[in-house]
Amino acid sequence: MMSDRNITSDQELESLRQEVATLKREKATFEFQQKLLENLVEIEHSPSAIKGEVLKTSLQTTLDWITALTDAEKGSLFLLDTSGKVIDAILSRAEVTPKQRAKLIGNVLDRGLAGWVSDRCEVGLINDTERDPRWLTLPEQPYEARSALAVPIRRGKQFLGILTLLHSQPNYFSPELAHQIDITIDRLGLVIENARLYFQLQQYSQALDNELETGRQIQLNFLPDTIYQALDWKLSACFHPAKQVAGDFYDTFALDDYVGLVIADVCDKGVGAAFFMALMRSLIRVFSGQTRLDGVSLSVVGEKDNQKIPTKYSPHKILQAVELTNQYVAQNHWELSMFATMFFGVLDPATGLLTYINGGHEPLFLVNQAGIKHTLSPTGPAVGMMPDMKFDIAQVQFEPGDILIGYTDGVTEGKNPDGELFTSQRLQSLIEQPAKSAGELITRIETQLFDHINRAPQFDDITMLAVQRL
Amino acid sequence: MTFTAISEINDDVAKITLSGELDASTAPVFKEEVESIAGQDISKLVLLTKDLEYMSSAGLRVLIFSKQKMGADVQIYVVSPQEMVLDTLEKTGFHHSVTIVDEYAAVAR
Repeated sequence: MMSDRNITSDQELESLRQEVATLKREKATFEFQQKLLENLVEIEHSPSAIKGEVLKTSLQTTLDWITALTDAEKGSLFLLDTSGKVIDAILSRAEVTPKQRAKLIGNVLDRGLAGWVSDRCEVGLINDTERDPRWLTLPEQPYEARSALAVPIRRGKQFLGILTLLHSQPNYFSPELAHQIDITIDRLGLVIENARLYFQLQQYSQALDNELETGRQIQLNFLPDTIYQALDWKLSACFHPAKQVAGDFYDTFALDDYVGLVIADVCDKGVGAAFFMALMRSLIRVFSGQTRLDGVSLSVVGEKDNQKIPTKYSPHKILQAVELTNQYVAQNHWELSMFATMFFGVLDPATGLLTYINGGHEPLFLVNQAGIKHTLSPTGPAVGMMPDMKFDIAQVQFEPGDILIGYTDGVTEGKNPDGELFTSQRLQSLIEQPAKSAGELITRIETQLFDHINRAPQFDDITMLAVQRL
Repeated sequence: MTFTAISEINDDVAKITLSGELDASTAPVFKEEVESIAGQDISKLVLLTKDLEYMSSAGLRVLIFSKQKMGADVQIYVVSPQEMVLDTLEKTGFHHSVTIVDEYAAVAR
């Protein structure tokens, strides 16, 4: 009876012990999963987690957590690219030197346990490395592992990485543990995939940005690096592109005894407009004869060095550049239907006479201390729209102290945060007030305009050109 | 207001009724209509613009494209444009390349 009871109580005790052990294990499992999940959820929710080093730190924390929770002695996390190459290696309690770590990156995990896991994309558990052919002992391995557990990190069909845990005792990791990690680690896949997509996007936009920056530098180089200054005249300009590259441009250059003055606005914005800006600017220079006068022309064999080109230029002849540019663009590029509103003036600095064509551009104003004395309205259509267009030539006389101001519609159509335009009326009222110099007039308009735009995004390129007879 | 471009062809006259705002985002819709007409044997392209509220330079580009694509033999009429649209045409001088009329009846002559 007594012994029977003893047996029974022994059995009961044993059963209780087992139950407690099971409960303990379940509790541990639960806690393990919960802690891991909490950590992963934190990474996912952290807006900064996807930014490079922070993600790495978070993955390091996750790895350290798993290593600690499983009582593993060592852990590693390999991130793979789509071809299976190691792109990053995160190691717990890093005993590995940076040199050894660098060696790992770029390799394909095609051998050993990792190779087995990546082939099958399933959990690999080794109870004793000495009895498992999947285990590969490397010659300089500083650490002897007997138990090994490798878990694939997946996202859908994609294989993103491998988590490996090691212990020096055999039979250390249980199949249940392997299963628990396997089902919890799925969330890590999500984190890694998000990071990967973010980086791809970032890399792509960075590359695009670099290209645009190159474009911007080239475009700025197309503007005169110094504004041409004639004796007794003062020229001033400003240029504020809305995007990195712009369709606006201005140009000032010497033409024999004259000065060429251009302000133009190519329709559209961004890259397309920038290409046409470059084309139009060059065509005007070439057709006006500026490049030849500037000594850019090729010397003909047999021609004497420094031989002066005898042709005398007249403003009317120079202004044919507008018609020629129009013809070229309208005939060769009509399918793109790009055009530019353009003012091209030829100034005789000796007499103060300005001969010009205004091809559909915003009116320019000639002002003196009393206000606007002349409005230089369009004398023809915008340049490049249709072939055989007629551009009339007009003239205006500068007196000493007079200032000519030209602008693009980015000025009058500058929008404030409420969407209200700067308007031509407001611009004209600023122009009406006497200005001491061309530079002062531009600065005055710029200040008022950017005050108006305030924090609203700049919609259009803003360009101004001012010319003063001293 | 959303942009629409509806075209119809009667004999040698192609008509496109435009309404809404014609800007960079809607210009391709207009261009598609123009291209579908361009292959046909027509002598007049009539643009009914009474309900066209706005036309940006992107819209004007399609107009220029139409004129160039159809060639000098096809007359383009812009019928009853609103002030803003007319302003865009006049500012750039493109009103010289098309015929602007108040009423459609003027085209039918």
